[in-house]
Parts: sequence; structure tokens; C-alpha cells
Amino acid sequence: MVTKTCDGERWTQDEIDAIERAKEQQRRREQEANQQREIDSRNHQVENTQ
Amino acid sequence: MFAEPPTHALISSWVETVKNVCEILAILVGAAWTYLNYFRGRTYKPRLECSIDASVEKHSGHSFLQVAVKVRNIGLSRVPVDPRGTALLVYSLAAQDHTPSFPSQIRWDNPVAAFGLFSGKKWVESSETIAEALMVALPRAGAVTYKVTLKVVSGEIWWTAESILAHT
Repeated sequence: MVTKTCDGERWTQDEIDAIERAKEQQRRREQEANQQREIDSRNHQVENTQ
Repeated sequence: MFAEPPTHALISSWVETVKNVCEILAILVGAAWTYLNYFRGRTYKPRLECSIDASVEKHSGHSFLQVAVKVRNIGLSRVPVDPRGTALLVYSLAAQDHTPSFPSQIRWDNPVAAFGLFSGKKWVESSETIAEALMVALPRAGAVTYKVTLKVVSGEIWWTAESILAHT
């Protein structure tokens, strides 16, 4: 467990933008992975029915 | 001709003057105390205690990064939480990426993953603790060292807590 108490520090706009870009990229990757999982699942079902 | 003012009238005039001066001084002292307490003092500054607890767990051959974050408001004022910039950042370093011939400090590159936190929370009340737990599925890899960083943004300020853990 790491605990840190402080008054905080000032951020820069570049730092916040970089974090938001990383969060957006993460959301996109998760969405793509979910879509791929659905496609794989559907293909698997089709293969089973044939 | 003119009669001299009576002594008691002169005394009461002086007393009145001294009383007015004292009142002005009291107001100035009160204003100075208020200024020091509210604007210069730390009591009403937004103060957060951020903590992060991370571990790597293995279930059925898969590895998961288990992270618990906590934010406690130890100040006396309500601290708004800005979702923009508030996040859990995961950095990684594969063991084979760094084999120096002498001890050297690791420079972490860009985060390999970033997750939004406290999405439904607009602020943290004084003495209130907010917490969130995340479980992140890890890719199959060899020995990797992870750094997890908690960032909490409020206005123009942010708070940071970090933890480093090795996964073998």
C-alpha cells in the first residue's frame, strides 16, 4: 500500500491531454477486442451448426 | 468671555477617542486573522490523501493486475473531482528491455494502459473517503515490472500516488 498526502501539484495541459489520449486509446482497444470476441463467437456458432 | 469646557467633558471626549481607536484596531486584527486563516493557512486548502494498493494475481493460468485506490479528503473544504485527467495509469517494463552494466534509474515511457476513475463522483466531502477497485487482465509475457499511478485532478491541481510491482 502506497499512501501519499500532499497539497497537490499544478498540472500542465499537455499532461492532461496525454492522459486523456491514453484513456481514449484504451477505450478504443477494449471496444475492438469486444467486437472481435463477438465475431469469433458467431463464427464458432456457425461452425458448430454446420 | 468664553468659558473653559468642563474637565469631565474633556475626559469623556478622550475616552470616546480611545474607544474608537480600539474598535478600529480590533477590526484590523480580526481582518488580519481571517486573512491568515483562510487565505494563507493550510486548513482550508484542498488536501487529499491518495493511496494505491496493487498486486498481480493468477487465476486459471491467467494473470490479473488487481488495484485498489482510495482518496481521503483530510482538509476542511469540499474538493471537486475533475474526470478529465483523473485516471489509473499502468506502465510496464519487460525484464529483457533493461539490462544495464551498473545500477541506473528506470525511465518509464508512456503508459501501456489508462483507465478512468470515480466517474460518478463530482466531489469529496471533508473527511470522506472514496475508493475504487479495478482488475486488469494482463497479456501473456515473461517477467514484467509494472508501475501503477493514480492521478486525481481538481481544478488546477492534481494528486499522485504510485506503486511498483514485479510480475514473474
